[in-house]
Amino acid sequence: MNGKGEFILDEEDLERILNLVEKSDFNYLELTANGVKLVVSKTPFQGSSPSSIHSPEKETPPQKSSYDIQSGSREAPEEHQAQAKITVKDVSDEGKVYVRSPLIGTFYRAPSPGAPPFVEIGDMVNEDMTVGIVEVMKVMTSIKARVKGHITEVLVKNGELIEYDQPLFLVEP
Amino acid sequence: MNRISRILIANRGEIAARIIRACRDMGISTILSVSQADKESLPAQLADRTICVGPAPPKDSYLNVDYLITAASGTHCDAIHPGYGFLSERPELVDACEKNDLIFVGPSSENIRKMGNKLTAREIARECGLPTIPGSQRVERLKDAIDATEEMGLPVIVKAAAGGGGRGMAIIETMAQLQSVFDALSFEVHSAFGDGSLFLERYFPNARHIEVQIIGDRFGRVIHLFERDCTVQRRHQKLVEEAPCPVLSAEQRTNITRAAVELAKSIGYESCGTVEFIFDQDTDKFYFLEMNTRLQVEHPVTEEITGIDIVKEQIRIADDYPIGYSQEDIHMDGHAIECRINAESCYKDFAPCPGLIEHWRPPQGKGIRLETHCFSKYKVPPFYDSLLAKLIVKSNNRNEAIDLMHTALKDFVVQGINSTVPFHIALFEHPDFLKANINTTWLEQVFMLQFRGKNESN
Repeated sequence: MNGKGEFILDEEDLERILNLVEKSDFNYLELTANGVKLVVSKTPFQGSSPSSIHSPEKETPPQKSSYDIQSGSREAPEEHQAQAKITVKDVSDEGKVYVRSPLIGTFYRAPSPGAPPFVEIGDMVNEDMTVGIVEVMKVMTSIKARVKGHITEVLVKNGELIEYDQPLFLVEP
Repeated sequence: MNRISRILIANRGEIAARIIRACRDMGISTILSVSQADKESLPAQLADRTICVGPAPPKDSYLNVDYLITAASGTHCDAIHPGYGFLSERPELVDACEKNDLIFVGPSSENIRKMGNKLTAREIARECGLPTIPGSQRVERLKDAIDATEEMGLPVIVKAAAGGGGRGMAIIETMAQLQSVFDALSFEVHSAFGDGSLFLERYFPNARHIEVQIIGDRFGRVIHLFERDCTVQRRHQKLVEEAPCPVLSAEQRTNITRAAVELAKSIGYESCGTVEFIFDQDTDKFYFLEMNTRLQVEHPVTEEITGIDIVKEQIRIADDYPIGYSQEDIHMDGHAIECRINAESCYKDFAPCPGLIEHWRPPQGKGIRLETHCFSKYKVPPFYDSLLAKLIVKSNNRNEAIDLMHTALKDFVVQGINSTVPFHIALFEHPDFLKANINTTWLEQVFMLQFRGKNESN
């Protein structure tokens, strides 16, 4: 919001809203004002299913101020929960653990252009900490570390196309 | 033109390999979208690059439009080839391609929508002057279905308006059967296709399935590549296809191919496609059944008798080239037959049989063509359809083609998993099939009873 009572979302607002939703018991938030539509959902990403709430672009051209944020969370679908368990293939020879991409898409290291990255080499992360974002057709999904430890290696560049299950970070538990 | 220099192939298995090879010949680079289960597949090895779009279940990988568009755009592809099955007849993919500046190798979304609904398709065909099967409009309630059946006379076939791939159908021979089947089918169809609408058509018990391959371009030209006969079916699934149809007269061939071309022209069809007909052998009349707006599994038999590479033509047309042939250039030569070799136990009601292929030794020789993604030690994943290979033979005439197929099948070694090779060998020894004296119910009502009997007494 700005001082003139106009409804403008900036990155700070967005982060605040995201944090609030993340901590709340609500799974879904939809906010529309002055042609700006914000959809925040903790429910699993449903791709292009017609009933999906993540596809406002289908009817209207994409707006710069329209965000779709979906956060990988405790409500993740079964297969995502399965991923949450650390499996043998996730562990490198030196006992380090790979953080892998939950989706195909464009990888972002920071919440917005110019902002500092979510994590850097040497940072301590825990299971629920966001380490990056993957964007599929303008839908953003946050990537959780799913492991506790220090980041020892960043394996992909900001803005790079990442594949499903691609290793993104190496973490020393 | 020449806009396509890199294609994303949004499919798997033998058809992905087929498309990759066509692209290579045309100097087009290939990106293959793979699920996690297909990362080591043969097409993955043939493609210039693979991109993993999701886990094994199709809905999380091969059926997700957003993932495939992201994969194509992210790897700087110019076009997407959908193959068959999966998203090949989903207008949503075509629309998404358009929105993202990608060329869809196939018809327009409007073409797909029109032909995707069987009732709409039937209406268009009727307006076009094609003979259509006498049938009802959409029926919601059992009472309407009974009324329609009384008007048409038994037997009838109940179909899903949104159905496809042989699913969502029931043949009704008595009124009692209709009453017991109707509600269950409506429910099944609703959960499978999201649309529970049913309609009824007169059922022809002594019919052949004949389909015409057509190609249209973006300049309004449509040609046909003659017909295929796909009468050997089990539960509406094709198992053997041949070209040309062994029972059509020259005049009937002219009529059926002309009808197909007229239909395609009337909707401005601009890709390869197939117009399917029922040919009633009691009256020698043919009726429009449906149109498939994609490359079909059995396209190779047509390629064998005409010499046209349908996949390459399809890609050229998508790239705005006119068809490279006129109708006068197209001639039939010889006879071609295709067997679908599936990972199924033909002695156990065709139960799917995925797993490790210990040994794979396909037949070779003059006139033998194999479209496959399998090799020794390949593990057939359980998530997808059971097609292992298409064995295609081409010879001077039908009898020679049958002999060649029989020999080729006997040379085909598949160890580790069950395949339908033994079923096909028995089929190619059966006098009814050899004489082309069959209809669409023959396999289940005649052949399978004998096949089962023989193997039980062994």
